[in-house]
Amino acid sequence: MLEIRNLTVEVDGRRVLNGVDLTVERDETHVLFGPNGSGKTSLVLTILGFPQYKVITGSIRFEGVELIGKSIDERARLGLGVVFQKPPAVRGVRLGDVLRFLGGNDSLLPLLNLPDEFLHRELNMGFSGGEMRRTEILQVLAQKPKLAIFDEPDSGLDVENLETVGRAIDQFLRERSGIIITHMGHILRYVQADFAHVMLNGRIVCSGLPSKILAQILREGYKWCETCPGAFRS
Amino acid sequence: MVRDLSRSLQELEDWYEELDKGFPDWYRRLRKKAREIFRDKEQKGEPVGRYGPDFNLLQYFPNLSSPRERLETLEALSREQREVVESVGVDVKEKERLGSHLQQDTTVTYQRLLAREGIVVETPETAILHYPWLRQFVHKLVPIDLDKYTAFCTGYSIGGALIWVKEGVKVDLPLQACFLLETEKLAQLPYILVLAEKGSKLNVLSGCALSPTCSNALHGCVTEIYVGEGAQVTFNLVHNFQPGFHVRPKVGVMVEEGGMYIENYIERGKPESSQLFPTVILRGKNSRAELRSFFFARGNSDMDIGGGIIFTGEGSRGEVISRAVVTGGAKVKMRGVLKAYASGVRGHLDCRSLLLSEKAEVRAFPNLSSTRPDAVLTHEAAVGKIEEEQLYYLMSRGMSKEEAASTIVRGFLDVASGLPEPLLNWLRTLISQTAEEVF
Repeated sequence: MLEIRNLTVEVDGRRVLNGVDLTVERDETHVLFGPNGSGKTSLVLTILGFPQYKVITGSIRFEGVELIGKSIDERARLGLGVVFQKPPAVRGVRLGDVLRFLGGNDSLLPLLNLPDEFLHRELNMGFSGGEMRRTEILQVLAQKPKLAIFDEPDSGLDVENLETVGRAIDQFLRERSGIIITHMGHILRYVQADFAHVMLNGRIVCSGLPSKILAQILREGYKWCETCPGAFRS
Repeated sequence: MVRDLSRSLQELEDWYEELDKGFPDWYRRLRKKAREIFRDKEQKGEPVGRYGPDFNLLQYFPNLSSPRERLETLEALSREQREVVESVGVDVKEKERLGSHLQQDTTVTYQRLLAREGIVVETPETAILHYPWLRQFVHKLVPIDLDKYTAFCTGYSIGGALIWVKEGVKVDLPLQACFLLETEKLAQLPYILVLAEKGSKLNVLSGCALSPTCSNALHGCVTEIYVGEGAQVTFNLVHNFQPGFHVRPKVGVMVEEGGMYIENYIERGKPESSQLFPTVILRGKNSRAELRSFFFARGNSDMDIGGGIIFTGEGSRGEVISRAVVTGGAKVKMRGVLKAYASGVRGHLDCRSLLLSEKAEVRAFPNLSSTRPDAVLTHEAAVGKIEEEQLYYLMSRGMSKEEAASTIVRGFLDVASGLPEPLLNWLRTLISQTAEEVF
């Protein structure tokens, strides 16, 4: 479904991705680990086509279609959806306006423990971390992408919110492909992932089973990944 | 009959002396004084108003137009005239209207009130003869020597309206007043006086526009509004002017105890220059005011728009909100002044602009002052373009660039959601125009 080959990307002349290879097949969920600044969010925004992420080499194919050269909205309409880690506040634009555009309805709100009044709230204006995550996920659920990318969906969440968000993502990804970016892996308590990868210095250095990789990271930290002898994907 | 076309100020003076002959002394003297102030300022080379770009007033003639015949109905207007008056919110069928007042150039050609009980609408000329007590209100709020434009508008005004709502009379339907400019080089200078007595309620929709036959003229106006104890006045001012036109409306408002004044100003055209700074004095205890302006500055328009509230009543509250979408080579100054002189005052200033062109320019001038420690005055001002981050964010949900930009502009103008329907319709048009022009 998603095939990334030898992807090298620069932002303002600074290299942020350095030969990334990643394949996500239909109905697979992949987890991307990595320390701060390793290139995880850069990868997401490059897949999505943010113009400041300049592709130097490589390709990004989605269902056989080359994405490089396509605009952000074209990529979204092909079936890509993203839950942003730090979405911008948009004054005067209501969550309900975006949901209406996406063809979503109010029935999704209880799934994320959001009261109806959120439909009238301005996008990301004065939202707490938990509210921001939940409203982001709400939009992507309404968008129904074929491949959903979740950028740090578990950051800034308390235990209750983590469970709500985790269960909503898990349910959503049962019939879809997904990439979940996580720093500490908390979300994996609720989400069943198939494969995991570790990013370091703009490159995927290690791939394998999520539980094994997470355990290794929690035990040894990302320092160890730098010396990892290679993949132990089974 | 074509009136005197002379450029000479003396001839103009003689003409006005003759015109004013039938009026009471106090009114004649006041107007004569205003003309003297104007001539004095003009001769002293005191060219500029306090705000707004300067231009030569003597290229326009306030007494140029010939009188028009009265209309039986607004539907008698030509197709072109109807399109113009409708563009500023006038309903020629007068549905959902309390009444109508139409002035073409300097002649009031149509006036009709659908409910007469407790409401008086007359031309100022007639009203001044009928009601001697008007002396205590006329030209008391907007100082005649404020600047040369105000002196000019006061000394040479012809036409306008007295709108007087008597005690306890409440009307929800808007009274529509329209000032149509039709003659080239005319200075259309109506005087509007609104008196809303204790406990009354009034809604005015005042539209000013120009006929397609006219390419260069001046619209000046002095408007004075008195909001009595517990009364509420909503004044919707819609302009549709084009390049070649200068616009200088001067608005002064006084609000008594528990009264409320709401003003919505929309400029939907692209005048050569426009300067508007309505000033409200919240004199009464717990009086309130909301001044809102929305405009789309395009072409080479030079617009200096804002509003001021002076809080002298204990516990008075007021808000000045401005939203400007600025493109082309337009120059915009956004002003807001809040002055607190009483305890318990709350004032807020919120002026924002979207700058959509490299050649356009916006400046914001928020000005807050207080002499009371318990008064709270706040302000927010922002000048900027559409943020790419917001645009990309909405595009990532599948919106095209135009849809995303329209959504952001719509959000930017979201504070307008309480406007009457004709004004909201215009704003919707503005939003789609913006997206089309910019992308």
